[in-house]
Amino acid sequence: MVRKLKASQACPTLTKDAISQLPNDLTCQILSLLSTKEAVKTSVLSTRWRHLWLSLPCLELKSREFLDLKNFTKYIEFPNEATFETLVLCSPVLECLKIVVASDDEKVFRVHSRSLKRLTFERVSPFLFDSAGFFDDIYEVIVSSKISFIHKFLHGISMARSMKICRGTLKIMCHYSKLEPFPQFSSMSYLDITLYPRDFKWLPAFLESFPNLKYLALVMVCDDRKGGFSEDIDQVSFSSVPECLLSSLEFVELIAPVQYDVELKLVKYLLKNSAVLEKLILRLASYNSRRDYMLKKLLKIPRVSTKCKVVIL
Amino acid sequence: MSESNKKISLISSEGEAFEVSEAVAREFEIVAHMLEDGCSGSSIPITTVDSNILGKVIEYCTKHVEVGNVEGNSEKAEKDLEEFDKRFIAVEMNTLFSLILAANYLNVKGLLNIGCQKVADTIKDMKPEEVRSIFNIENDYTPAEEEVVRKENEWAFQP
Repeated sequence: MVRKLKASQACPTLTKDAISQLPNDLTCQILSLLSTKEAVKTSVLSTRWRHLWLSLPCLELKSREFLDLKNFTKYIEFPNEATFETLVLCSPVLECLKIVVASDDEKVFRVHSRSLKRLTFERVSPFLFDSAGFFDDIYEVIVSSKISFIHKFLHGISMARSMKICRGTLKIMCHYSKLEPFPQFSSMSYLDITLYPRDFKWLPAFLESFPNLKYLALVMVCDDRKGGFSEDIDQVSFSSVPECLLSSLEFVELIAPVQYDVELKLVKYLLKNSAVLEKLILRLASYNSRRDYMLKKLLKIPRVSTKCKVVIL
Repeated sequence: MSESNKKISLISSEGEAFEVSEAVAREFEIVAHMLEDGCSGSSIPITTVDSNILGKVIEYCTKHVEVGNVEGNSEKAEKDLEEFDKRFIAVEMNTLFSLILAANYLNVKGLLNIGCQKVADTIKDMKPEEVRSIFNIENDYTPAEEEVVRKENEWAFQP
């Protein structure tokens, strides 16, 4: 490499406000490396910066960063007329929005965006730490009082292609499905569900709503509040076989280790009924005797799909 | 001539020639594409980048190609490279922005990323007034307008 010239003098210096002269996509790249809050703060730098943050495709808004929930919802949905153009959901490029609400308030959020591809909604709620029985009652109440909202929400997202749902949401959905027919998510190919073993009984009926599901990830979490696994859980029976098992489900991954008979039962159900399954990935607990026992049982399970591989991690 | 020995001249906006190996030149995606499109010339004009900045971009790419070529002890190499990047990008603002613009034009992704990250790190945790003064941003809001913008996004200005 030849470097003849020490050229700092020859370098034409940029005019003084270099950052404001960057093309928009570069400014956006810089803003996207900041938190949403930091990015919004740049709106005050100069007129050029006022709306730049609205060109970000991903925003994350947390209610606890706002004075109160009212301000928060107003910011997301209905600003007064003067601030109409800064409305988050008016952004034509917004692709993913994460809303984190730390409140019990049953406030409904209206999210209408043409460009949105990914919505994450998290509600941090104190009754998550209450007793299991109470927990169930709460869901009944939520579902029966909010049935029209849930209906709207589910139909609003029925074209989604992938979905990750937590245990609480699954429960709400299952309670809802007892009261109203559940919509069909015919575009859904990827589903990630976190659930308790005692939720397994809902799976067959729940999966009926995803006729073209290809990939299913299940995260089994232990429900300590019920004192481990009571007998009725081990008695769980999978009565029906949903459409996706027969025709589309190719990959299943069990994220948590298979430790109990009830989980083994689930594996058995999946292997015996998933006609086009190509791969089942599962994990086993690391301690030896239990591992051997599980392994032996696993190997005996008949597989309906001839090309199915079982990968044990 | 084997590929690794082939030399290419990159010509800066002042007409200065920088002779580099083809591997280094290919780190400029814009050059890589030209080569793939059958552009066989051994000198490539980079008309929008001056000698000072072009020299720096070449220095960056040369280091990254060198490290990429060494096999084994990857953890140490990665650390060294991180250190190099950190030192490399610790430049005054005008140079930083010239590097970002050049990296964007020449499509050197790694350099563009560390440049943008450097600017973002500078903005982080700063008051708007401080950001304005560091980057020489002229505040063209009237006090009343500025108040409106602050009010509108009040939440973001709270600690």
